[in-house]
Formats: sequence, structure tokens, C-alpha cells
Amino acid sequence: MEKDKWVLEMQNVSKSFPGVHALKEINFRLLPGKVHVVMGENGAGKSTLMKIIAGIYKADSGKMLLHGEEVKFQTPRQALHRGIAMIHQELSPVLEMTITENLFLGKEITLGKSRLLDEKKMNKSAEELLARVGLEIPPTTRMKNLSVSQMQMVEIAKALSYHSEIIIMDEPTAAITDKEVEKLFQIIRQLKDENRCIVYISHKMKEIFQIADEITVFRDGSYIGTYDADSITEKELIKYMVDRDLSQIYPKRENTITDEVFQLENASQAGFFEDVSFSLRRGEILGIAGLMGAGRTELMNAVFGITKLNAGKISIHNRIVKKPTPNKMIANGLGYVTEDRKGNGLVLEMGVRDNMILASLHDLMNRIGFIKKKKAAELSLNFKERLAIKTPTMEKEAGELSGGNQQKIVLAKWLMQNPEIIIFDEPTRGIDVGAKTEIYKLITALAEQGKSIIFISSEMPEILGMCDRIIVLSGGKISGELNGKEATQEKILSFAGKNV
Amino acid sequence: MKTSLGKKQVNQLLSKYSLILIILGIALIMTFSTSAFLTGTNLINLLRQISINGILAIGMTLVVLTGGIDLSVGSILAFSGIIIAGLLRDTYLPIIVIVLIAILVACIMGALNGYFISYWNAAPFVVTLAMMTIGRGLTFVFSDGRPISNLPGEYLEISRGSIIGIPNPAWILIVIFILGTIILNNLKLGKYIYAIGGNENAALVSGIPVKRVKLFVYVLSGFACGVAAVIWTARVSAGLPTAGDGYELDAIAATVIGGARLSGGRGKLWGTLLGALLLGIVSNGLDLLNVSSFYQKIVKGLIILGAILIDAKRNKKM
Amino acid sequence: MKKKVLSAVVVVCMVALVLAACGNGGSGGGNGAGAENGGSGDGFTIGATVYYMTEFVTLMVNGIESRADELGMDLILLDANNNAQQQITQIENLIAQEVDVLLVAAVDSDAIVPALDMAEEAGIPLVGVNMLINTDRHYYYVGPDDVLAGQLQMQAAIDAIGGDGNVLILEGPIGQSAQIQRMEGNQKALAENPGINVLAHQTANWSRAEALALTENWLEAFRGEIDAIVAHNDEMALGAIQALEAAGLIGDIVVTGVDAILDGCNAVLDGTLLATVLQDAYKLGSLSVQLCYDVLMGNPPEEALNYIDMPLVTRDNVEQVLSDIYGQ
Repeated sequence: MEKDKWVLEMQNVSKSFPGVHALKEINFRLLPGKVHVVMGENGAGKSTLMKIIAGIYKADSGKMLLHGEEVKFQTPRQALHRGIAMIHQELSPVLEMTITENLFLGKEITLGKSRLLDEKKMNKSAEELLARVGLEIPPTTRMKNLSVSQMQMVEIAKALSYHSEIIIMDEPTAAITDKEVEKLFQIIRQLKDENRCIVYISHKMKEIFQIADEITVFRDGSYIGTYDADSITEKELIKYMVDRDLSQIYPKRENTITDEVFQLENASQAGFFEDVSFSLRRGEILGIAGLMGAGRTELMNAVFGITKLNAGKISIHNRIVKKPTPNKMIANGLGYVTEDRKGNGLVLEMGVRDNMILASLHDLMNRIGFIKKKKAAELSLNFKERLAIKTPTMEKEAGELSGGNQQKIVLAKWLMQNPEIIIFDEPTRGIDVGAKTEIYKLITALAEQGKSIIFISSEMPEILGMCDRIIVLSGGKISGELNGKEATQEKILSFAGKNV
Repeated sequence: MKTSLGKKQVNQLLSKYSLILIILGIALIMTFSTSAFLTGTNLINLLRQISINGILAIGMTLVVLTGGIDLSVGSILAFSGIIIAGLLRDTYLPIIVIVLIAILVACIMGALNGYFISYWNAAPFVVTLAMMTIGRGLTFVFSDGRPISNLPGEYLEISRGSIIGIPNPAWILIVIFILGTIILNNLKLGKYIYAIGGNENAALVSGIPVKRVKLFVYVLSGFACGVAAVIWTARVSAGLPTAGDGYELDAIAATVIGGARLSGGRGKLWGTLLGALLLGIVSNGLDLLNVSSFYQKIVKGLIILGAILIDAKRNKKM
Repeated sequence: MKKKVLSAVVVVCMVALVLAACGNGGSGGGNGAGAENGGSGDGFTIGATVYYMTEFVTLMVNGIESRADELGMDLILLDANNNAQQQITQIENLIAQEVDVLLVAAVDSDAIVPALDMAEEAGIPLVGVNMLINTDRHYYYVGPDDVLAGQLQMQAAIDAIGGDGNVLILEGPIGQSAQIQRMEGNQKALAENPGINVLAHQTANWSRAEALALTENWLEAFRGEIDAIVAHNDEMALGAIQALEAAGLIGDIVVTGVDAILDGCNAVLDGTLLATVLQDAYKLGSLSVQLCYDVLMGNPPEEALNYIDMPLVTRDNVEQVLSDIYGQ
């Protein structure tokens, strides 16, 4: 009976990649007018299944039925034509093109039957689409001039523009602000009313319970079960996902905070931040909070010497660092676990070991400049075990590992240098609960060993749970400073919105 | 899981050694097709014949690994060759000094490439295209458009002589190959080269002196050109203004056949060496078989295409 | 994953197939008749390498093939693609195949010198064709006299403009023997005529299009000063003629070429081209094989270096040339 209503059904779908059995005999179905949340740790197979539905991957075996009729998509275009749109986790806009051009890529509107583009019409409907997702920017703006969260909203607008029956959202809120999340949920409810199917992938529990009708859990490429969102608890979900109890997400800290090791004074960079000063003590975890675009990452890039400061000075151990470069900052005991793993954290083509030792090679050389291979192997193996990195071999290309393991490799790279001060920029972004907890433990352990930590995050609970002291950036300026114990989500938010 | 791993490894080995299998296959076909192929003299000839392209391709591979390209190798070879021939004719400098001067000049030309590419952020394709044209022009200026010939017999020994039966050019290739392998596998420079080609931002954040490394790979490519010029000049016993015309394409072909990715970050020197060997064997074998050069070009093109297709297949798994 | 292995196998097969296919095609087309066809060549094999398959060389190769066929000799023919180093490589390969005689149309007169050593070492005679080898050593050669050709074409131009005036020279690719030797011939004629002034000389790389552009520029730069244009081949001469036609200067400026290609002869017939020099490529090819045969049979000619006739082709004899060479 119920089966007649199913919009989409996957039967016994399997998919393998070299070395990974990504999906094992998966069954899955979608009901109209429902938000179906898909959960699972990274590498559980969620994204793979979605990519099969959207025609990006082909299943090795199994069937896919759309309204009871078997379909086999060869390309994403075919899936689109059958009413399946996907918002990707990794954004893929053409940066040099305008918002309109991106929105209508592949389905440009022409003047009548000619091949001439009807730019007026496209700009007009682009404007409507943008208004729908709450973006008030001219559609002729080039993509490259947008912030990450704005790009994400454009991507959502693009998915809406197909008027698809099934809309897959793969971590749509990973990079957007709370305000935009609210807007997105409004849109989702609207889509529900139009009887469309929404597939929603996310790691954020709070969101999930806000929006979900049904929740399906995957673990290690297997289907665990589908549950009614009203009758399941967060604890149960986590248990299904990781198959173990997570008694405590944020570990207890026993760090002792002593003397100042780092000062930033009156730092400015045109267009990004202005007159920023703060200091950092030994053994301290300093949180930097703020909305997307508040200038947090830009500030850290400048601190690490990747970009130049227009004004201001950096001192480490009370000695001013002149003309900072990454090399100089590393020599001064700094490490930087960057926000964008794939963008500037890892060399995906290189092996696990080579990625780990990349920043420490000068310490791994013998007198004639050869790399001490044995020592490098021992050292990297040691870190692999310390950080519990899951990889079949140390030569495995980093790009073939899951997000959490990739993040651990980046971590290992910096820990190997034994830095005094470590900057973590969104260290848990896009990784699953289990891996998150491990990263929290590591950071806490580092602080207990007397390292100084700068911790940047967009997830409030994380900042609140991890930091001894919190500075809030807003519009490129420090808008407030809070003690970790007395900080609350409301206080941080009020500071964060100050200069916007 | 276990069994599929074993099977996978077998397949990986096959794919890893596919180039060797292809080379052996072709060698086998050649052996059956002509009695002149599998003879001592011919194999020695073959080694001598691949040496120049092999050396250029090793330099090219280092450049390609950083995501760059060097179109100027043929012109740098010609210019160094003219310098060698000119100095041999006009001065009484010892041969070793002349050779070192020529290699130094080639390194400087490479350094100029690298300087503009890394410190001015100019596109490698364009910078080296300019150097290709300038280098050729300089060669014509210095040679007055004429060959410089009648080089002394001792100099020609560089190409003609042999040690324990293996011709000198092949020895030089082997030495360059070993040096290149040491750079890539044992020096931090090698890791830096791979890292820059794979992800320049990550390399920068890791504190790698990206600009210096990029400059240096073009110096190394220039060095390879200089060494190749020494052999070239000895081999034809003259410095020719037209020397090395189109050699950049052969070097790139060997690099690509060897499995290096033109966008950087992926590739192995032994692959490049096998690529040069494959091109050499095919050209040698087709010469022996009296195949017209028209068809030879088609075969060469098909091999390059085949190599790229195998590579594309390999990357598709992503 | 199986596909990877499969694709590797496919490539092997592909290359093998192509090899087999063109191996047959090459030997079938190239060799012509072998010794078993019963000629008097005693199964001699000629190993030939030519610099590049230009129109001229293709004609020459036709002559080589048909004479080898007549004499019952086998032929291995390789093309060096204008690459001096590759030509050395090919000579190594030919020696490795134990050919009886090497026939070489050199990419470069200097760079081919090492081939003499290799041939000597292997005890195989080497015969040069079309391109002289820059050496004092003894070797047999048959070819056009490019110095003479250069002299003839320049002299024809000088005579037409009455012994004094301004000349432009369109050169072949700088550094190629034909360019060097034709230029030498040009200069010989110029030395005897002090009234002639060379306004400029530049290469147009044997190309009609390049010569056209260059002549256009010259017509601007030397407006009203030019009396004659001497081109190192007919292609470039025809390019110059096109520029003159466009400028309405046909008849005011005389043009000479070398090669007597079909288009060139027709231009001579029209009167747009004053003169060209005939190089009979087919005959040259045929003579070179004869020379190989004579050397192998132990009765080589007295002179080591032999030149074929290079008659000047003008309006007086062009019809004869057209009917003899091109059958028109």
C-alpha cells in the first residue's frame, strides 16, 4: 500500500571504490512532502548514495526506482531532467562568472527560438531566486566577490531553480550563518508544503531535530535503519551512528595557564580587519568567535605570515617578528591547522607519510641533506598511532581517506614540529561526531602539556565547551572578550552582531 | 575484503608495470619482425639514441611535477651547443671548462624562466615560449646562422666512447637519472616539488619556500638541457643553429607516457625513463622495419594517446 | 579494475596492429622489387636517409625507387624529419641492419660528418646525394651545384636590369646548406658586378606566404628603389610575384627563383618570373642509385663529387622543360 506513494526507492545498492566497500546492499526510500535526514559518520556512505541518486556515480549493483519505474542515470544531467537536484557539500561555482550565469549554467534562457541569450529575463528570474533565499545582492555580481556563505545560498537558489521533485542537500549549513540557516529552514518547510522530497545530510543534531520527519542512519557503508524523528533521541541516534556511547563530548581540562607567549598589537589589513590586539598565554585555549566574514581566517592568515599586515606587530616571547612569513613563524614555534583542508592543508596526491613530514623535513635530514627515511617512517608511524589515523598504509594517498582522518594528518603535520602555539581554524568542520571528540581530546591534551592554542569555530557549543577565554570578532574588529566559564551563546551572539 | 585486497594488489601491480609490459611486448614484436633488432650493436645504439631525449625528459618531469612546463628546452640545447662549438673552435680552453661554461649558460637561461614564473607569477607556458623564441634567436645571432663544425676528436669521444661496453651518453643518462631520483626521493626538495604541484597553497602554509623551489626546477631543467647539448654536439660533431627544434614535444611526450600528470603533483622519474625508452624503441624498431616516417608519426601519436587514456582511466576511480 | 589491465592490453595490441599494418605497408610500398625479382643487383641493399619529404625530395625518392627497382636492389628508406641528430640515429640503425651501401641526403652538411666515421668503421660505403658533406675526406656524391644555381639566378637578374641597380634576396632557412650555397653563388655573381647593391636579404623559410609578407614590407620600405628580387626557391619567388601583382609592379621588378617546379615554369611562361634554375630531382635520385651500384660493383666514377646539369630556365626553353619534365 504505502509502497505506491514512494517517490524513490533504492534496492540493494552496492558501490565499491579501490580499497573501500563504500555501500553494501543499501535499501532506501523517499516519501513525498517529507524531510528525510540521512546521518552517519564520515565515510558511512551517505554522500556516495546521494551521488548515485543524482547520477554522479553509477552503482555497481542494485536497482533504483523512480515512481516505481527503474532508472539508470548516466550523467547528473539525466537525473536533473527526471527531477532530482543536489546541493553539493563542496561548492563548485564558476568563480569568474556572475551569479546569474552560474544559476542558469546549462539551462540558459534564449530570446525566442534564437541562440541569443536573454540576459534581461535571466537576471530578473535570478533576482527572484535570490530574494527567495534572502540574498540581497545584484545578480550580476561575480561569484568570486561573494563570501562562502553567500555562495552556499546561491547554490541553494540554483537547486530551487530546477523545480525538482527531489532535492538533496549535502551539509547545506556547514558554511552558513544562523540567520541564513533560519531562512533555509523556512524554504524547506515551503518545499514540504509543495509535496516535494527533501534529503538532508547534516552532522548538526540541533538542526536535525528541528527539521527532520524521518531519519535514516548509515554506518560503515551499511544501512542501519530508518526512524521517525519524533520517537528517537539524540543519544540513540549517536549510538546507532558510532555503535558506542559518547558519554562526554567535551573532555575535562586540567591545564595551567601561565605567562604570555604571544601578542598581536594593533593589527590591520585593509578590507578585512582593523586594529586587532590580543595576547595568548602558555597553556591557554583562546577561542575566536564571530560570524562568517568577520575576518577570523584572514586574521590568522596574517598572523601566520601568509598575507601581509598593513599595520601592527606580532611578538612571540616578547620578541617582535619582523616581516612574518610562514617559514619564519614555523621557526618561531607556530603551527596552523587551516580551515580549508583540501585548499591549503593537504596535498591530496601525496601519501599519508609525506604529508605528515612536509613541514618538518629540515629536522629529518642527515649531514649531506638526504632525508632520513627510517626516522621519517618511525616518526610518522608514531603520530599515526597517537592520533589513531585509520589508513591501510602510510603511502596511501591522503585524498583517498575520510575527512576526519585527513584532518588528523594535517594535525600530525603540525604536531610533529612540536610547536608552542597552534592555531586551529574550524578543526572539526565536516567531520563526524566520533572524530570530533578525538580532536577535542587532542587539543585539550596539548593545552595540558603547556601549549597555547588559538581555537576558531563557527559552532557555538564547541567554542563554549573548549575555550578558557573567548574573543568575538565582528566586522573585522574585536567586539568583546569573555571568560570561558561565564560565556553563553547569547552573550557571544550579541557581540558577534555588534558591527554588522 | 581480504580476497578483494589481494586481487586489487595484483591489478595495481599490473597497472603499475603496464608500461614495462608494453615495452616488452613491442620489443618482442620487433625481435620477431627483424633480426636486426635484438643484436648487441642495436641495443647499444638504442641506449645512445634515447640518451638526449631521456635527459631532457628528466628535467621536464621535474618541471611538470610542480605543475609547470618548459617549452624552451630545444632552444636552450641549441644555444648551449653553439657555445660549446664556438668555444672549441675559437679558444684553447680545456674541454671540461667549455662544457661547464655551456651547462652554466643553460642553467642561467633556466633560471630566467624560473625567475619570471615564480617571482612575477607569469604563466610557465608563456614564459618558456618566450625563452624558446629568444633562445633560438640568440643561437642564430651567435652562430651567424651557420653551423660550427670540425670539432676536435677528443671532444667527440663524449658521444663515441664507451665504458665497459655501454656508450658514454647512456652513462650520462644513468647518472642524471640517479641524481634526479635522489632529488625526488631523498632530498626535501623532492617532497617540496611534489607538494607544490599537488597543492601550492598547502605547500605555502607548510612553510615551503615555494618561489625558490619553482625557480630551481627550471634551473634543473636548464641543467638537463646543457648536459644534453654536450652529447648532441659531440654526436653530430657540430653546433647547429637549428639543433633541438621540436625536442620539447618529445620530452613532454616521454614525461606524459611515463605517467606524470601535466597539472603537477603526480609522476615518477622511472616512468619518464621508460617513456623515453618506449619512444626510442618504437622509432628504432620502425626504422629497422623500414616504416615510412609518415606512419611513424601516427604510431607515436597513438602511443601518447594510449598513455593518456590509461592515465585517465586510472584517475577515473576518484 | 579489470579495465585497467584490459586497457593496457588494448594499447599493446593497438600498437602492435599499427606496427604490423604499416610494417607491411612500408616495406611493400618502399622496397619495390627485391632481389628475387631477378635484376642484376645481386641482392644489394641500399640504406637511405633523406632530410625531409618535401615535394622535391619526394620526386627524388621516386627516382631512387624506380632505379633501385630496375637494378634489382633492395631499398630501406628513412626520413630524418629535418633533425640532424635523428639522421645520425638512423644511420646507426641502417648500419645495424648491415645494409650494403648508405645513401644520404643530409639534413646538415656539417652534422653528417660523424656518419662518415661510422660508415668507415662498419666498412660500408657512403654516397651523398643532393647535400654536400662538409669534409675534405673522400666520399662519392652526386647532386645539384647549388653554388652554380645561385650564381646563375643572380646573373640572370643582373643581366635583365642592365648591370646596375638594387636587389633584394629572399633566402632559404638560415643555416641550411642550400641557403648557404645558393647565397655563396649569389655573392659570386655580385662580386663580378660592382654596380649592384643588395638592399636587404632575409629568410622566408622556403615559404610562399612568408615571402609574400616580407616582400610587401620591402615594397613599403624601399619604395621605388627595387629593381630585382632573387629568391632561393620558386615558392618564395611566387610569393614575391603575388606581392608585386598586388602592388601593380609586375614588369617593373624582375624576379628569379630556383627549382623549376611546375608553378615556377608556368610563371616563366607567363613572364611574371624572369628565370629559374632546373634541378631534375627524379634524375638526381636515379643517378644517386646508379652511383651506389657503380661503387658496389667496383667501377666508381673518376670524380668523387659529381654534379648534375643545372640549366637556367627562361622563356626560351621553358616549354621544352614543361614537356620533358612535366609532360605538358
